[in-house]
Amino acid sequence: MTESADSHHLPPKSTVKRWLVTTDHKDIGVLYILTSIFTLVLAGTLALLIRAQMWTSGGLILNGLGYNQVVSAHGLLMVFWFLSPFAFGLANYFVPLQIGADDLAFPRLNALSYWVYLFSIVLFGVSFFQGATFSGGWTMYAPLNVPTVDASSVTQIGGFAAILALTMFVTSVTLGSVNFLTTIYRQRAKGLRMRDIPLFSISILLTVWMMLFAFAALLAALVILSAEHLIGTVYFASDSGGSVLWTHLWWFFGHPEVYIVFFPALGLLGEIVQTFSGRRLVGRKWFVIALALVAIQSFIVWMHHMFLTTINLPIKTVFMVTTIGISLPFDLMVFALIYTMVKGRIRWKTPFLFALGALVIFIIGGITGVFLGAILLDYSFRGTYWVTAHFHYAMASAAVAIIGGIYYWFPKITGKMYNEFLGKAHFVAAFVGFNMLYFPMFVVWETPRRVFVYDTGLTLWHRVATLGAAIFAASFLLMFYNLVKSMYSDRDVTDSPWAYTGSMEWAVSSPPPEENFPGTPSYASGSLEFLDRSATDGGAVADGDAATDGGAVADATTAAAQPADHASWWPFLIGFSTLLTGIGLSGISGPYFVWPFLFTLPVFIAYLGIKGAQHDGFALIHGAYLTASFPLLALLLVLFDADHGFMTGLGEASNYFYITIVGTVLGAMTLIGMGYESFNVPEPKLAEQWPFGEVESTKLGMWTFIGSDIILFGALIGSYVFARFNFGWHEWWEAAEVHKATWPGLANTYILLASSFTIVLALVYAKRQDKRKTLGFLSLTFVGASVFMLNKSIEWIELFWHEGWTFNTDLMASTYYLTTGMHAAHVLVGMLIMLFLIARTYTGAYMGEEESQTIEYFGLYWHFVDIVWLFLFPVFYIL
Amino acid sequence: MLGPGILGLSVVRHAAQSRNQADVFDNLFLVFLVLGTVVGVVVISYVLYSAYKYRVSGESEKEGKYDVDEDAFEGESGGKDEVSRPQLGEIPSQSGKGGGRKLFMSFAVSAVLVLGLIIYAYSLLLYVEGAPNDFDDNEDEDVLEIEVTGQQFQWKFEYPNGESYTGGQGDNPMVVPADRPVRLTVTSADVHHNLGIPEYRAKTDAIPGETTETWFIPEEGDTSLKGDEMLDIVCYELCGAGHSSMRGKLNVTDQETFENWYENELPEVSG
Repeated sequence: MTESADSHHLPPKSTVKRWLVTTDHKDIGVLYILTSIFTLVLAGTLALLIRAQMWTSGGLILNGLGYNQVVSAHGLLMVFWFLSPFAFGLANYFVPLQIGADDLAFPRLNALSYWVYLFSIVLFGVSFFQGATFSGGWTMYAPLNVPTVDASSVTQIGGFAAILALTMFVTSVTLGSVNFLTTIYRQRAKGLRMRDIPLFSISILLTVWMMLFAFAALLAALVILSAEHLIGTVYFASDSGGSVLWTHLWWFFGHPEVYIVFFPALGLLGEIVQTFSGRRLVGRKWFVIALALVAIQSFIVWMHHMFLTTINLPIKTVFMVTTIGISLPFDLMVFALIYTMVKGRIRWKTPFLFALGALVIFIIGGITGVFLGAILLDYSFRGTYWVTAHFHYAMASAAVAIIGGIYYWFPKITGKMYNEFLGKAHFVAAFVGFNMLYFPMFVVWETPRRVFVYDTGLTLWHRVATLGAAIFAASFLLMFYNLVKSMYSDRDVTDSPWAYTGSMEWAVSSPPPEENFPGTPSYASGSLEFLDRSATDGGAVADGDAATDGGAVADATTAAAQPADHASWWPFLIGFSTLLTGIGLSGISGPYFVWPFLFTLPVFIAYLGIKGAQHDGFALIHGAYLTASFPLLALLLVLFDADHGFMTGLGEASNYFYITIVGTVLGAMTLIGMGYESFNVPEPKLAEQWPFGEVESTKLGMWTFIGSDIILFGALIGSYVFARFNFGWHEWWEAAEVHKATWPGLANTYILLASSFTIVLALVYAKRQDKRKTLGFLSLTFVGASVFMLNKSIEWIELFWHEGWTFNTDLMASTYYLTTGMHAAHVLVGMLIMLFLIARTYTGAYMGEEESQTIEYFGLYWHFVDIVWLFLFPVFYIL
Repeated sequence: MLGPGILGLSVVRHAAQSRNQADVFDNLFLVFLVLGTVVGVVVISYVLYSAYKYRVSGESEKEGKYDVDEDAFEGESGGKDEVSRPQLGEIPSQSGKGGGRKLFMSFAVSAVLVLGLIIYAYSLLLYVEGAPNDFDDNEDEDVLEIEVTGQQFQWKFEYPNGESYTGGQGDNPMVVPADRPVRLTVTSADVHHNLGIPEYRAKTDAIPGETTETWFIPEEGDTSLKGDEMLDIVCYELCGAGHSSMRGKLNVTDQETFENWYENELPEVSG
């Protein structure tokens, strides 16, 4: 190892460095909570602007574009950047403590999730200063969201920056989902079955399952939308259902999203009501079953957001039924919470008051939601304040419940008790303010949404709402003051300052020790015990995704008893590189878009050689990489010269172009840095792991990631099928302004299938510790991928330049280039990972049964990429 | 529950007699509002009552504990045996004893209520969705067909005789005669809009590349008959910087005025 061992130890909490390098789930939980509260203040300020504008019909302070920006940014920030991260701050902190895990399964990935989240907020903030931020509403309806339709240049760069920020956020969520799923399935205390884990953790488990799939669909929508901005594809502006396609993609994600933000709150309500009623949750089993039903059903209700589009009556009927169906489990959950209070020993502490308030608010939100389930009422409510009021009652009840959670766990996180009087005062002000703000919206429901012109007869109620908003906002000052002041008070708390607590987080000190538990937690005897650690400590496995963790796996065998690492700079740096790339891409012009990525390739290869030599000692392969990078760079410069003219091209390139290059180059270098970092995460031997006892954590992580990738491609292929059906299935290719040959696709099918075979052989020989043959078959796989890409390039050059069939020629070109292009990007990423694997294998890594697992994980990814092609080939070449 | 039930029944009977979407909506909305309020008030009152009735007070003497003392309740009536209390370190899957039957009863009642409401609402939906077809089948009905196209930030109206014009803020209203069914075929020339005429509860999306339909029957005696007091045609989908001011107007006239306008003035507006 080249890095000194203590570089992975955590600096003290008083230093800034601690918070930049930490991978400890508790630290990251705190960072999430603080960052999401910052977003709350930002988005809440925007809400106050909305209410100020509504003081009088016709508006007070903003023009049309300004108001649309404020409305859109408020919605986007609250739904994405506040609600979920607020809950996931608590989840980060408490899920491991509740289930008995030392940390999340992949601590560095967890830190990376956080930093990408943080920098996505920064990018969103930047978008306000790029002329104007996104102004098409949080639902981003098409085709207002594409540059060719909304041509006012003032909204374009900033608007696209906001879209890219959302894309970054989705990336962060996907990494987080993979991490939480792996953790909850693999790292539970002995004796803790899946059904036994505390309510909050169960709600988080179901939330991340929904996130994994729903956000992948959103990612597909955002990829297409980004392509419209960057290379000018014509999905959403097309008359072949482009606008409706967006609503399908958006709401397929969007309705599960409602439950994604609400589930953690339900879990918290369960915990808080149980504790402060001093009674175990009534009908807990049914509560959990209801949650699971909702999670599944949430994926088949989305068209109720589209009752006034062109969908026909039978489809409307089906979605009305599923929608009403999904409301019933919530009835059961609400009743379970209510009956838990009966015969309880209820203490009206602040967390309980917030839970009670959230319950009342949610009941109102739920009842007004049933109104919307009646299609006929929905017709008239569409686009009015009824909808606004309803979903604020539903979603803000989640926020209110989570605030209850903050008070509930504040003593656990800080070791100090908050001031009870100020807490109650906060609740009263917040509850009164909230209802003053949103209840009048039901009264004046005829006001059109996102419009600041309204019937003057409604003015009084709008002013009451504005006053309520001010009270609601001000109430949070009490909370901030209370919590900050209390942190420095002398009100120290014991392990469990509350009576009638049950779950594990209350059995450790407040705040919990760095290693979480005094011993290895176990429920094997029927109740919680902490066993002697030395008896139960397992071996170590590495963190990181399958492709980049080779180094640590190799080290782990020699240092089994090594303590866990908790610090790494790489997540922060990778996050920062995504910010730079995002800023750059927001303003880059189409013809330049691909070049920063191409110029990064030689840097990636060269840096792989340099870092590899540092880590494993210089070997021939490192020299080869370094040497190869120069001709590649020269080749790219020649191509750039042909495309733009070298000097004129660089001269005319905007600053955005150079920022993108800095971002992508930094991204490549930091990814390699993290790949070569030795980072030790011990996996407990004594853990309940059903149903994945036989699947290593990294493999489970890889499988879940592939699960989300399947949805990504499913949504892309689905978009193509949707567009083609709308256009006319059989006329599709005849109408295309190109004649596309089948044989390049066929040839590539054979090449990819063969490469799936060679990667299996590489794995077989790695297990047999045959380095030469492993290397040979890895290289052969790489060559196969190269031939695939070469073949693809020739085909694209033929179609694009010789036939003149560019991205925006027609819908056929857009769907073809983008879908197969996304696949090609996956192949390219696979090739870069293979270069890393080849270098590592050359210096002796991955040999043997255990160590070869890294190649197996990569193989899973590679097979997946091949299978995707097996779908793309018939869809784009034969049918 | 008897009061709202009777009210609901009478409303149902009334709704069946009316022809217009606005009446159907008003009645349906009233039924939902009455039942929703009753259910909301009952449930929320019960929540607050329970939370109040079963509250306990007292603070533990123990250092660092900020809650009641569990031990203080030992031996009290309503103690350990009746309901089960959470205990630190237990496997968290244990459920509260009892309450199961009450839970399912409440669930069943709420399910029946919701399903009943929805089935009733659905029958009215079938009427509203089927009405345009009834117009076509019924020879007596002379439906006025107007094609409406949304465009940033006004509406374009095209009449059966091929004449068309755009109407924005107050000028060039859509003109229709009273008591004659109007069918709007709606599309968009640029982005996603949504056309709504709140007075008649007629609303539909205006989507580029697609057409949707809605209908209404303008009524004689509307205030709009008198000069400037025209009805609003509102855009209900965020469509760009001018969205807030995308209001068209609807002028409901008597048959004679309409025909006069249709024959003579319409070509002028469209010109």
